[in-house]
Amino acid sequence: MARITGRPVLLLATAAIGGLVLAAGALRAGGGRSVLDPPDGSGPLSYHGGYLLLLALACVVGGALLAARYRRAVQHIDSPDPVAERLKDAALLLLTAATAVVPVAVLLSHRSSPAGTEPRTDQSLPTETASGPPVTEAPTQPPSSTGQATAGSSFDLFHLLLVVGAVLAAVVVVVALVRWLRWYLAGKAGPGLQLIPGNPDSAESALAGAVDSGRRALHGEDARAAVIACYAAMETTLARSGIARLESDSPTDLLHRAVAGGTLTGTAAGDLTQLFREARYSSHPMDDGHLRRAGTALDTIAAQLAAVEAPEAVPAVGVATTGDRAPAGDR
Amino acid sequence: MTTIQPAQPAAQPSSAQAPSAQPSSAQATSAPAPATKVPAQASAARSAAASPAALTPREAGERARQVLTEIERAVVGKPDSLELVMLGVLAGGHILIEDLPGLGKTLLARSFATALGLDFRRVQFTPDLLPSDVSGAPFYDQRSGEMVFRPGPLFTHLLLADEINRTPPKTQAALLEAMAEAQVSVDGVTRRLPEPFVVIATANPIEYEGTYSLPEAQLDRFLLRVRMGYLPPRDEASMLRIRLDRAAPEAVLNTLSTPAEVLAMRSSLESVEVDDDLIAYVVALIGATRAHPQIQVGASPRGGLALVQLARARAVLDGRDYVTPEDVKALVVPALAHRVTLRPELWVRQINADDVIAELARSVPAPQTLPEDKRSDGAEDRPGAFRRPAARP
Repeated sequence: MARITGRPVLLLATAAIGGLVLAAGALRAGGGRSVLDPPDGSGPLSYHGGYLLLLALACVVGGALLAARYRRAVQHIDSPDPVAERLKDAALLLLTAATAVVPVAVLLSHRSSPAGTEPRTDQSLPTETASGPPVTEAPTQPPSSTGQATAGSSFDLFHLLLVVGAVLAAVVVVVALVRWLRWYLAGKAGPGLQLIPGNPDSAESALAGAVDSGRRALHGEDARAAVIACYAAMETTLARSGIARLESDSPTDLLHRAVAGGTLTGTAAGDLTQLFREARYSSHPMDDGHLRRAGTALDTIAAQLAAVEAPEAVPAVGVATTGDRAPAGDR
Repeated sequence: MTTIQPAQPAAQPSSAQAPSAQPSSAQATSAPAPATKVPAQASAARSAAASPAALTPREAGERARQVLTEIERAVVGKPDSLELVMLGVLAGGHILIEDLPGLGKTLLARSFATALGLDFRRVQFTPDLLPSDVSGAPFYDQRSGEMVFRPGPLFTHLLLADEINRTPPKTQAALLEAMAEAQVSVDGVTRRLPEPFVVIATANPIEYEGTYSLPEAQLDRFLLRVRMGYLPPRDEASMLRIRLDRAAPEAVLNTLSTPAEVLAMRSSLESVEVDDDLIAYVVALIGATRAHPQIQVGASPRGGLALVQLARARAVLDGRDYVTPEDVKALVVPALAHRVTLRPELWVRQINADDVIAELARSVPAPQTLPEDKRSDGAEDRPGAFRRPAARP
């Protein structure tokens, strides 16, 4: 456990002593009530505007420091489970919100007090001082002398709760907005590769477009690039089916997820992945045999994905792929 | 108490040529190592392995798989651990096996020595073991009247350093030079060790009493760390059944290779190509360990070299002559987890380096589908092409 020594200790001690002095000035001896309860527990500084302003300022500074310190402490901690992560976020949010809400509440309670910013005078006090009843005998005061104060307190409390509720509602709205914005941005530009919006008409046409792009590559001069393009077309079709490649995914990771999710079956995807790895990461010469295998695998995968996505579109995709595909040897 | 078991006769290079040779267990020979002029012995051992027949990566992978299949007869239910150890041997490194007692660590090491036809010695590391007990020391020969160097158990092909963390750091450090440079310096004379020289060290978990944690410099010398783990119930039952059916304490393995062939298998790794994007991937992984907030000391450059070499070995074992992202990703934890030092507070949360490195492997971007040149020449504009997401603020 690290010990705090030196200047921080001095500052902490000074702050503690100052806080105690201010608290003592705000409380009436023997009353033991806080400054937020003025009729019964006021002290010499309770209604001094400067005091309340100082109190609010201290709340702001202290809250901000505490929130910043907490943020620094937890920002690098990767919580092992979602509950702990949410608690961490909630604590940070609460600290930040309290930094703003508490000073406002202090100032509002002061402004809405019956005496305003002026120190309480004898006229504003009930007549118990002049007539003699001690403070401890307050319950015996006439109802007329306390009724006004009670009405004023409930009115102030209502406004205070209203303001606090409004602030909390605003915080909730802001947080919800920020979370939605993050979710929306993550969906638009997530950690995985981003698909270029090609033809947004329908899922079927997008699938056909991706397959066509792979097939067009088979007509090119570069067999290696064609195999890679076929695999890229498979990735596109998988992404359209809801299995997008993550940034950290290896080809096998993507394949495993597709197979585990039931999107792909059989050996076609494995064959195409194997061809892609050879084309992408080796200098092996690629020939027409590789192209044929890649084209066949791509057709099979496209048919599978089309069947998963839209069963009625399978015949159309199957016919189109067969008709459009030129033999690799015709290049 | 120090236990040093010298070489098995069946594992000598001369007798290891016959595939049908049946090496006995390590306890079969108890004669002490003869005092001799070590440079001559070492050079003889090197000459035996000096001219290995060249192997292609595919051939080397085939031989390595045969060896693994043979070892699996003795070590049941641990194919992943066996494969990792084989990768370490192929990559020319040393292997640290860390797990609880009784999980077959010693059996694994002995089986490798037997199947690969390597000279094998075992050192039981104890609190009173001295560095000279490991490396060897000069003694006075009354007949010749000279000081003669008696080689320690280090002078072998495969050294099993059993429970290495039960000995103080001074003796652990005696292995440093041998592991890093395959040589031993005693009394100002440097002596080369036989080739290949492989250390398979076993270590108990550090929480156990009576253990000395291995220093970072020592850990960094190990190419990879392997954890055995308990067998699943079905495999454990199978292991017991095999033992009963065998009617013998241990399976007798055939020797399928020689030191020269092991060297040839190692040499074949140099033919395995590694794409630039994969090198960048390895560098990114290493860099991520240095920038990770939960890691106090990240992986060293030696860690990057180890990862690349292990990935090449995995490619060879898979019959390929090129490395893929799967090779790198599969070996991140075994190659790097023991090289990083976590922040102390994570110990309380029971987060170990394996967890952190595995999480890191799941977050570092792997090479993209399209090569860099294809991404930059307008390929992104084609339908179905990909592009990297814009950097987030």
